[in-house]
Amino acid sequence: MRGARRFAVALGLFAGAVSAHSSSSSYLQLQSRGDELQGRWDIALRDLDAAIGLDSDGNDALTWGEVRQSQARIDDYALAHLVLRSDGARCSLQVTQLRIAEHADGHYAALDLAGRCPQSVTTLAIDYSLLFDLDRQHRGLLTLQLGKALYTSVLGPETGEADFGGDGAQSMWRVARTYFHEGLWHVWTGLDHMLFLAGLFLPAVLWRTRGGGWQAAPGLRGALWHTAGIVTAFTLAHATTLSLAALGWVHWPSRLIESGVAATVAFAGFNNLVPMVHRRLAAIAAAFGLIHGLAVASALIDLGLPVSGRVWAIATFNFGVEAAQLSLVATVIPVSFVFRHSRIYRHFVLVPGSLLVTTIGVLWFIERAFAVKLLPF
Amino acid sequence: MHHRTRLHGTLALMGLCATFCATPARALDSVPAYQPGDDAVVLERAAISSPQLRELKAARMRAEATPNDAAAAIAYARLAIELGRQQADPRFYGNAEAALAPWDATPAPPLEIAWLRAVLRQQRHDFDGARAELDALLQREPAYAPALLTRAVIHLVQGRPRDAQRDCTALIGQASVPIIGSCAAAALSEQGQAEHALRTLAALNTQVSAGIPFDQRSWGLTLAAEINARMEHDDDARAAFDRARAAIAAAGDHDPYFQVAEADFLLDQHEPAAVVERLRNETRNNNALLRLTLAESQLPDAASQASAKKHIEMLGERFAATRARGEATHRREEARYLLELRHDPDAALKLAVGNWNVQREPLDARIFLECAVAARAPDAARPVLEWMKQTGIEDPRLHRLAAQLPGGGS
Repeated sequence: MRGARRFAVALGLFAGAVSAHSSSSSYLQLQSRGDELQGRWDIALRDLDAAIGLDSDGNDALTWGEVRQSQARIDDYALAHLVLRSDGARCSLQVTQLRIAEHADGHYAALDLAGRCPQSVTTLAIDYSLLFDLDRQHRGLLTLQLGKALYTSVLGPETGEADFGGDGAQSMWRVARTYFHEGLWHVWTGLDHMLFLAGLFLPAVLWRTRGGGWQAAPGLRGALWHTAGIVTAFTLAHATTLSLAALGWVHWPSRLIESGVAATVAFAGFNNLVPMVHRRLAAIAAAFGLIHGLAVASALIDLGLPVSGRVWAIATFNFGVEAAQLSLVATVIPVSFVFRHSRIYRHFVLVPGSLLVTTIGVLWFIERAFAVKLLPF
Repeated sequence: MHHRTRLHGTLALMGLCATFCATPARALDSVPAYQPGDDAVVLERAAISSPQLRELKAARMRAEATPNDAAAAIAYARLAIELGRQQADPRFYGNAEAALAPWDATPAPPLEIAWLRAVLRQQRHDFDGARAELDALLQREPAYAPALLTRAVIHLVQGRPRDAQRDCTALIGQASVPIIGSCAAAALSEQGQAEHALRTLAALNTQVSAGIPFDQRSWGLTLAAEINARMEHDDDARAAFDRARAAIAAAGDHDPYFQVAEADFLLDQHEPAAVVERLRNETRNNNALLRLTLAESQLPDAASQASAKKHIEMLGERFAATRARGEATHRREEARYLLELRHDPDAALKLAVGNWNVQREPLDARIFLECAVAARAPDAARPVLEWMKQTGIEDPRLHRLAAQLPGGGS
C-alpha cells in the first residue's frame, strides 16, 4: 500500500502501511487423552517482552538467561490468559517445561503444557485472551486433537471463546453429512432443479409419439430404469462441471449460465408436448446437466468451500443430489405408472404440467437473459 | 429462483467454512524446541530502542489509567501508529487498536478517533470499511483535512485517481502547499499527466530551504523518485532517490517504505549487489526480505545463492503464517514471490487477481500483468487493461507488458 504511507507522513502521522512484518501470533497445540490434556504453546519472545518485560538489563538484547530467569512470570502470564473447560468443568493446566523455538519471524518461548479435566474430555471450551488488551491484531492459532477429531481455529478478540467437540465435531464425517444434506435439499427445494426433473419425469410412463398419438410404458421396471438412467446421466454431467467450476478451473459468466438453465427447463417441458427427442433423452439430460452444474457451482463458490477437503465436500454434495433425484424417481414414477392409462393423467397432469414447465422456463429465460423481472419468484 | 438464494440460507455451511477456509497453522511438530546451552545466547533484539519503548509504555499506562479519556488514548494510538510506520510492524497497529477499543461500539466518536480508526482499518487492508468510516466522518465535518487526505490515499490505493484528486482539491485552504501539491501530483501521475506531476513536485522540492517540515519534504522527494522510476527517467529517478535517502538519513528517520521503493528501482536497474548492501539487516520486514531475496538470487556467488535459498524458505513460512491467520494482506508480495522465486506463474496469477480486487496501484497492475504474461493468460489481464485505459496511466512498462500478452493485449 504505497501511496498510503506517503500522504500521512505529510501529516506527521502515517496513514497506514503494508503489514510488512508478520503480525503477532501464538501457536497453541492441544491433544486430549482420556481426562488428560497435553500440548505446546509457542509465544513470541517479543510479545512476552512487551507484556511483562523480559529484558531485565534493558540493553535491547534478550538472552536465554533472561528468558530462563523469567520462567515463573512467563508461566503465570500465559496460564492466566487461557482457560479450558471440559463439559462445563474447569481443567487444570500447568507448564512443564520452557524451551525455545525458532519460527520464521523470530524466536518464541515454547511452553510444554499438561492438564487434567474432571472427567474424560469429549468437549472442550477454550477461552483465550492472550495479549488482546495490548495488541488487538494478535491471534492464537489453535490446533486441537480431541479423540479422533482434529480442529483448527483462529482465536481473536471477538473469537477467543470457542467450543469444540460434541455437536461441533468438524470431522470428515461431518463435512460429508453437511454437504450431502446440502445436496439433498438443493434438489428438494430448488425450483430450477425440480421443474427440469418434472419435465423429464412427466413422460416417463406416457409419452407422445412422433405420429401424434400416445404410448404408455409397458412395465414399471423399464420405466424406473429408464428414468434412473436419465437422472444419473444428468447427475454425472452435473457433477463434472460443478467440480470443475467449484475448484476454480472453469469460469463462465453467470448470466449466460442462468439463462442456459432456464432454456433447458423450457426445452424439457416443450419436448413433452411436441416431441423433438425421446430416444436420446439421457444424452440430452447429460448435456443439460453440464449447464446446471455450472450454475450450482456459483452458489457453492459464493458460500465458500472448505480449503482442506474441498473435493470431498463437492463429492458428497453430488451424492446428495443424486440420492434426492433417485428418491423422486422411486416415489413419483410408481405412482404415475399406476395412473398412466387414465385420461386424468394425460389431460390434467402431463399436458398442463408440461405447459407450466415450458412457460416458467421461457419466462425465466427472458428474465435472466434480458435482466427484467416478470415472475414473483 | 436462483440457486444462490437457496443455498445462502444454510448457515451450517458457513460455520463449517469459518473453521476450514483458513489454511490450518503449521503443526508445531515441525518446529523443534530446544534449550540453548548458554545463558548468554542472544535470542531476540528489541525492534525499537529502549527510550522509544519506554515512551510507548508510559503513553499506554496513561491511557490505561484513564480508560475513557480520549486525549490519552489518542496520544497512545498516534505514538503506536508512528512506530508502526517506522518499523512497518503490525504489532504497533495492534497496540493502537487496543488503545481505541473503548470507542469500538461508538458510531460517532471524537473526530480524531474516527480518523485513526479509519487509518487502522486501512492498514488491515479493509479499504471499504475505512472509506465508509471517513465518509461518515466527512459528513459530520466536511473540511477535516486528515480524513480528506486519508480518503485520497485510499482512492489511490483502490485505483481511483480521479476521486483522489477531488479530495486533494478539497484540501485547498485546509492543508499546507506541499501536502496539497504532493497529493495532487500523486493523483495526476496515474491519469496520464506524469510530466505535469513531476513539474509540480520539482517546484515543491526546490523550496526545501524554505523550511518545509521533514516529513512533508521526504514525501515529495520519494514520490518524485517513484514517478521518475515508473516513467523510466532513470537518471532523474536515481538522483531523486539519493536526495530522499539523504533527507531521511539527515532526519534520523527509518523509512521502510522508501527502502522498498528504492530496492525495486535498483532491481529494475539490475543492481542486485546494491540492494543486498542496503537491505541486509532488514530481514524482519517481509517486503524488504522479498527484495533482498530477489537480489541474492540474481547474484552468482555461492554465499548469496545459499542465503537466497534460506530466505525463500523463510518467506514461504511467513506467508503461510499470514494465511493461517485468515489474512490476505500480503497477496501482492506473495504473487511476486511465487512468480519470481518459485516460478509458479499460475499460482501467482491467482493471488494477483485476488489482490487486484482489493488494491489497484501501478505496482499491483505491474505484478498482475507480469503474472498474466508468464501464465499466458491474456483474458485474466482484462481488468488491468481496462483500468489502464480508464485512468490513462502512462507507465511505459505496463504498456510493454500489455503488448507482450498472447494476442497482443488490448
